[in-house]
Amino acid sequence: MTNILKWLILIFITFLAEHFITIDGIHLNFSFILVYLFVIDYMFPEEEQKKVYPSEVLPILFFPAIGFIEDLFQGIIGPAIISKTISGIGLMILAKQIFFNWTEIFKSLVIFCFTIIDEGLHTFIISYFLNIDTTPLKIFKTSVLQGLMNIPAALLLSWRKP
Amino acid sequence: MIKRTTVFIVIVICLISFFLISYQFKGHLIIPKIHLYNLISPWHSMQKFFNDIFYIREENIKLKEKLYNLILQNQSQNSLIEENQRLKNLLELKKNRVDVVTIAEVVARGSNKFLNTVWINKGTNDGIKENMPVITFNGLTGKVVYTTGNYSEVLLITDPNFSVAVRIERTRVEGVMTGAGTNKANLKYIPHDEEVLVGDRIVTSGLDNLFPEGINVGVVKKIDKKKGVFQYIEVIPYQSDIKVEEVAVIKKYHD
Repeated sequence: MTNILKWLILIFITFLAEHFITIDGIHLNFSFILVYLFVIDYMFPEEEQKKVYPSEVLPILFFPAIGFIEDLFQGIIGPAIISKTISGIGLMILAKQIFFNWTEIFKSLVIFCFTIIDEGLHTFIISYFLNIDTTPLKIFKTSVLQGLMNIPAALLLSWRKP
Repeated sequence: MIKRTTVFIVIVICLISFFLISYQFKGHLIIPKIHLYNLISPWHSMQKFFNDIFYIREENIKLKEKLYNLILQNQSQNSLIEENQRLKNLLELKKNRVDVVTIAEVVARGSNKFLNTVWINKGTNDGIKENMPVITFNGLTGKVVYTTGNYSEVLLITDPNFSVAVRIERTRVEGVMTGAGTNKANLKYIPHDEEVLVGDRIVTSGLDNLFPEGINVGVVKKIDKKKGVFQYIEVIPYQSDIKVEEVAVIKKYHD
């Protein structure tokens, strides 16, 4: 129950921050931090013996749910569901690989790359359907900025995990 | 690796989402957008209350309102003088009056990542209605697309969904200007035989019955006559998206 409440508060604060914080007119992608935190929390539990092989049902429900909430604020249901699900599954596959050493640098790189993947997918879907005249430079600038901003926030929130 | 069932579920989620997106863009399904702004409006109201205690602020707003009216009157008078000269006093022009509804401050960027919108701290309680034009000292900024009691969302001039009837000030050629999604806009429906030069000033024509005539919109940046039936004209708006801090909401042309 405490865990659910913790996640609800975290989701609310994250979307509130995403809604109101902009840099140079660019909205940030804090919602990906939720996906990252969930994967870290779920795939690397503190008591290892509790979950030897964690189920994939909960993440597969969580990722689209986060995407759905994000889409509700955008007014179009679908793009964020797809991007969050795909990036979340990708992150989960990465977390399952035992040969990675999750150092702070590796975590930073993961957050940065997956934020770019998430934003790239989202932008691609939206610009394909909306036919928005956007430039690759603008997409690159937005994704890189979002990736860089997510690194400190996600590292702080997942301090000493895994 | 992940299970086959998981892969199957992911594919199903993606397919359902694609169908949902298609239906929404065709207009078969409309899902109301959630505006988080209403949640923090009490905080902003309190902030506004304390700010308004200072008398000087009120006086400042009134003075700015007067200044906007004077600038707009001046613009319309210049337009009338120019037109009168050109027609050699043969035509009598109608009076072009623009009224400021209220002055507002930009408090946040819009929540949608792909729409260029901003939120202003005035709403229906201050007399703002949907589709009212929004201007700054520099020129046209956008129009109101959504209003609540104390806040309104303004669609900016550079958004692809924004369009305004305009004319080239020098040649009086009429066209339609739409946002390009970036910090530029496009001037459309100008035939190839019309002369357009880089640096030509674009002003509103008033033909859309929404934006009053003679408001500064932008300046021609690039012309390409090789593309399509009409000329491809890029316009740089006078009012930059990022620098919008304070705006004036004005009445619609025929209100």
